[in-house]
Amino acid sequence: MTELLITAVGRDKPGLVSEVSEAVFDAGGNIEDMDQVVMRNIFVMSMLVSFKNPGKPVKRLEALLKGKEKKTGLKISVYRVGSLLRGGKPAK
Amino acid sequence: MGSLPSKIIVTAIGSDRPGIVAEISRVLYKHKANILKTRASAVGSLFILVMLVDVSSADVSADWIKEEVKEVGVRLGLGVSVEDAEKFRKRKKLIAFDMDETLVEGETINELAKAAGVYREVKQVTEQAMEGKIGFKEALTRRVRLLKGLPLSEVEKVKQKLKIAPGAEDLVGELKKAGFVTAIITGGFDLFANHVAEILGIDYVYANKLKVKAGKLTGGFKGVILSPQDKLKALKEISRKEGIKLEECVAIGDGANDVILLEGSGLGIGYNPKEAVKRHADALVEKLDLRTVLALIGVSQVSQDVVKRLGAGSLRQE
Repeated sequence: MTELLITAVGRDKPGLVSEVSEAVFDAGGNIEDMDQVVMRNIFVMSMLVSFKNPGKPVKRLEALLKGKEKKTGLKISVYRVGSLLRGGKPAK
Repeated sequence: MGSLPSKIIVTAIGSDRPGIVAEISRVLYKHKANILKTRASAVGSLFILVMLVDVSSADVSADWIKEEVKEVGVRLGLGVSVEDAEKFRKRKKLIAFDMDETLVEGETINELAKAAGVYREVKQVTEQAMEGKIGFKEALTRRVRLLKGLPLSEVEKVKQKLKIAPGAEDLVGELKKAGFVTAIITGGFDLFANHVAEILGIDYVYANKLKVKAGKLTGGFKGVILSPQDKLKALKEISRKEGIKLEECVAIGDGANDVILLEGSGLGIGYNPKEAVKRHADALVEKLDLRTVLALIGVSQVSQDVVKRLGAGSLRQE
């Protein structure tokens, strides 16, 4: 199992949770944990996503999220949870 | 329902599976509702999601959005509630259960009818009533009249065969532990409701009283028939006695005759609800699953943790 941490920030508007979670679902990921808040009209979201199979689905998610960045104006980052816990740099 | 809520709280609980956040947020997006806060977590095999949603800029009414969110929740096999943010803040202290098809399996009147040999006739009337096609009072009067002459010994046999719904014992037990006042408010019969209350340790019973003469049912009632309006009146009476506000009351039921009660209480839960009920309940559950119901009511540790992390002050922002 692979776990990713996804963060998304940007100007708030309706549909941002939907766009990002749709990409996760389409790539075959499962949301294990998530927090989202709007502060001063800024959208801030963090999401812990698990994949049963590493490799292709993760690549697919990264590609889908690139598209979502363009569509929504969000800044989206993807981190390997394992790497974060080891104090390493983001995989992306 | 009076004032228009500008913020709602969506709670969804059920078996963890991909797509829960995606599907619920899609419905909100479709109607341009804005999600202000989300807290979601898989706890073991259970997934719980709580969202604070601003619906003031939505292209449909808050009620419309509530309906669609509840539909999606049910389709995903989740327990789901959609409440006005203001109502959500009230801690719940009292729970009123319907009896038939909620605390006990099946419709007890059908079992009596079988014993009296008038099952087909009675069942027909029951179904029409539960779907809201004929008046509750008329339906009940007609059915009870069909039971005329049934000996009490037969009624007793039916009583002994009553099956408490799976999960009901645990649920009532946990709620009592949490300090809840408990009640059965039913259009069903006192002979059974008292029995169920005794088994489950329920504090109050409001039920219809069957008239008995010379050891047989007369086919009539003792006193007035409890109408759907009377069910809400009963809840008000209990809450007044206990010094509990109506917003602090939970009601749970399945039939058309529960609608007024569900709407009048702080949190109305449609349990395995008939079509006529779905629209009027704040919450829908398909099973009396302990964890799901407790989380929807806000009693369980899981839901309290989630709500805490959602931020106590968050509901008052702006």
